[in-house]
Amino acid sequence: MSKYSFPDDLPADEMEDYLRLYLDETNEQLDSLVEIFLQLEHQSPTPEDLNEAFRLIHSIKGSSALLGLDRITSLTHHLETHFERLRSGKYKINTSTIDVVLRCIDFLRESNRHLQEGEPLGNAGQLLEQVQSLDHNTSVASEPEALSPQGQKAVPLGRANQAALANQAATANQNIKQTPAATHSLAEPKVMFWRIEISLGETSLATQELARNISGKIASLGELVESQPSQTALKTIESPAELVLILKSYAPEAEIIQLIQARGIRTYSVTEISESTAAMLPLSLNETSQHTQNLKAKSENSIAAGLKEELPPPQEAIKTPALAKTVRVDVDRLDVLLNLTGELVVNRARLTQLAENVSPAFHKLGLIAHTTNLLESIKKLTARLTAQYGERVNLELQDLDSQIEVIETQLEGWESSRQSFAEFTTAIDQLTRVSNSLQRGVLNTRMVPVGPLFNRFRRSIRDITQELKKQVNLQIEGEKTELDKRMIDEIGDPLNHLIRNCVDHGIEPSRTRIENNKPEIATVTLAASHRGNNVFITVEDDGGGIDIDRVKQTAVTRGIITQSDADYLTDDETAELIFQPGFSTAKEVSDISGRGVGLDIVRTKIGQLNGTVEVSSKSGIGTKFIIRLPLTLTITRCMLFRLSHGVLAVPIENVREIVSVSGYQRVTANGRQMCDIRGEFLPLLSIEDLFDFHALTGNSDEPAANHESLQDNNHVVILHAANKSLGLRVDGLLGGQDIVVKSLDENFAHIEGLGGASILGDGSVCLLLDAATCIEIAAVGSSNLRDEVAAD
Amino acid sequence: MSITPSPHPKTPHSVHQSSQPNSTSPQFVGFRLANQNYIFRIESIQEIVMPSRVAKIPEVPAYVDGVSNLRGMIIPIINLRSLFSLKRKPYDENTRTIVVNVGTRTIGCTVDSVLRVMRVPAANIQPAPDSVNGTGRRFIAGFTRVDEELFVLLNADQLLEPSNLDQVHQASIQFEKKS
Repeated sequence: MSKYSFPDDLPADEMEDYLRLYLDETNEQLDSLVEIFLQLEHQSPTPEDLNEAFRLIHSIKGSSALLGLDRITSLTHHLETHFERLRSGKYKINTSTIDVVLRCIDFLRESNRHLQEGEPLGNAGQLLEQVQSLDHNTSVASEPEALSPQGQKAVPLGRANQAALANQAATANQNIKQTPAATHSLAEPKVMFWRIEISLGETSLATQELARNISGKIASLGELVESQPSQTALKTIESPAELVLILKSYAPEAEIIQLIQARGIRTYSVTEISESTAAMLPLSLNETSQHTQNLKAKSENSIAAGLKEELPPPQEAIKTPALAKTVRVDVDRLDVLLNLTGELVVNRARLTQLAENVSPAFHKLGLIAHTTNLLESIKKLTARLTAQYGERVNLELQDLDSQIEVIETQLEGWESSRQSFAEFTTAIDQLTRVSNSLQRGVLNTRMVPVGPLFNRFRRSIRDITQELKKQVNLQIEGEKTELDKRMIDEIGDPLNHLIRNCVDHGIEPSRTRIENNKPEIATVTLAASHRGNNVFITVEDDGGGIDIDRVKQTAVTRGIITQSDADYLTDDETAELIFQPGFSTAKEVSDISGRGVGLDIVRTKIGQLNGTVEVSSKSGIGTKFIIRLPLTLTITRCMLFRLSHGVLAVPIENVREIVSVSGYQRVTANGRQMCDIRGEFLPLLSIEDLFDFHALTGNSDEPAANHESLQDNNHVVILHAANKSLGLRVDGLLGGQDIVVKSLDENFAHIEGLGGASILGDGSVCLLLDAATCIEIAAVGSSNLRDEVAAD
Repeated sequence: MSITPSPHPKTPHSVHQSSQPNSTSPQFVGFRLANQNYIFRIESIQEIVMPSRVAKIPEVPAYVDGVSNLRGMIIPIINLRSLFSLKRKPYDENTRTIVVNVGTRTIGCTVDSVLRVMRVPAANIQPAPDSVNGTGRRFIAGFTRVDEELFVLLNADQLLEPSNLDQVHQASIQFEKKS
């Protein structure tokens, strides 16, 4: 981002913040735009749609102008002009419009990507021409009234038409803002000229930015006739003390005022002026200074008038909270927060553990009671002794008495700390509750609905179907299902691939569909649902299903399996083959899918997110891809195992079962240990077989001892990933726990077979096993061994 | 790594005439490994901690003791003795972990003991003698003598850069063979 140089001389880092904001905002706005347009394709436009589209384009224009992104501004400006006409019913929306607009949206997206990467913007020249040419093609001068979105009566061209336009715009304004204040102006909407004076001196914040921001916002209400200082000058003036604007707008006064007040400005004036005044009003500096005086007087007045003027009218007071409903937050900040919360939870666990360690000492009421009894009897004894022997033992007894007193005072202290300890445990319980809710809360802030992501695929479906001449309807279910933001960002590509795959390979040509008595328009269903700690996303088509025989044949020709293997494969196992690298059944490589790199990449990507993808297919009925994802990336539910080297965590979904394997269940085949789990023979390994632990061989008999203990131990955890299983010997089971996964490569290097590490309640580090890779490592190890055996 | 310089390196006489350290002289942290003193520039050090529990990690060279928890961050622990091909020594009450910032990474290294923080005028740092070979030169920034004791100045961030570790390890082996 830093490579992008900004047209003005604001500090670069500040500009970067604005740019980031701009990118966030426009990306969302573009998403909404696409959604509207795809709707427009199927149904005739409602005025709300057009207004919304207009508003979105307008606000992109506004913010791009603020950042000096001229190419974007000019493109959006032309789009806006076109929309103004669509909105007024002068032009009709048609497919070519939608195409051009979608292409513009693509350009804007591309531009955003360029901005993000700090690359120069592309040239929009051709698009601009296309947009402009729309104005000529889509004119419907013959029947303007029929297309007027609000069904207004036919009016003669000229003034009346303009009035209709004004009416539209006013309605639009009302639709956009939904200001109660705007309603009164609806009756008689007309263009008005406003003279707006704003004193900026009182705000200590970046005045220049504020000035530009506010003039930009005001400009968005209508047309800025005049500006003092001028808009270009604003970029250079360090801190303009005041701003005078002449605005031509349909917006009511209240709206302008509200806009100004929303930016924390208290000294301003908004006056209506006639068109003639506006036209002949070059804002001379003299005049400006005079206005400054006025403003000053005004501001004094306002202070004198007390709070009355500073409080916004009650009407607006109702509205303001709506503005503060959402806050944009950098995902990285949330990551930091989540990590810290994870630490808090770990530290809390530590505290609980410590309290548990201390509690026996405090919980033994008996100790205090015993000591008190003992002291009592000693006191009685000394009293008797004093009475009996008098003077002779007096001195020693007195000494004893004073010692008893000291102990008694200490006992009291002991008792009160025992009571505090009871409170201490209560406090820890409280902390537990708070930290748990905090963790949940922070996790929730990262959760976003999958809806916007899913809706994006409507567009790709549209493109693919046009390209392939297939008719496909995308059905979306469960768009409110929430998923970690990071996950949403990562899952887009794999999903896109699966959807393309469904349309390209899954869905038959229309003719075949009709022959098979299927509806001509195929359906691809994209659904999300939440089950337990997982989110399931399914991509399902009602196409022909996976052609099992062809898959086998291809797998054999590609050398993925041998013919003899193929004969024994079940249908499910065969379907699995499509995830193998280098597999593609498409007869020819198409642009959409079929490069043979697809589905294995999908599986890898989803694997990186700790998820799984499976396929099920019914011939003639359809194919269904089921993606399972954990709710969040950073916290994983794990089983903990004790090994001679420390603690090992295995994600719970990779633990198939934990068994006790006794001697007779072990078999050695080809020099490799296998274990017999209910008739299924699985490789049996110890962690040393998987990893080289560089045993710190200070004394050489240590590893031998380790080996011995492993031999005696019967605990075997069956790891399971990608339909393969493996038995791993462990020394002991420590139970399940949620762990905060930390990467090893962040401070050091990636270690093949480990998914990261985590910190346990006692502050020690445990390693997280990456089961899928471990199973691969084991498989490679065994094939090496087989080769060696063969060589012998 | 030429960690065992001859008892009377060629450095010298200048040391006696050299300037006295003052409050503007750069600061260094002195530490000890076997019978040799070393210094790191203080800027390259994040902190010095008592060694905490180290979890062994697999598939790494023997000079990596494992990973450790530094206030919620997982950092690798490099055993400097092992890295310099010296005989390992169990941790004792003097063992310290020096936490170093290497680029964006945070890496810990264990030393026999940390001596003190000292100021050494830049003029008193002698460049590495010719006997230090090319690879070694990248990691050894120079020598200095403080209170008649010889200190080897190491480039902490170069030394502990994960991609350099193997080179460092190799260099020290070569040197030992030569001497």
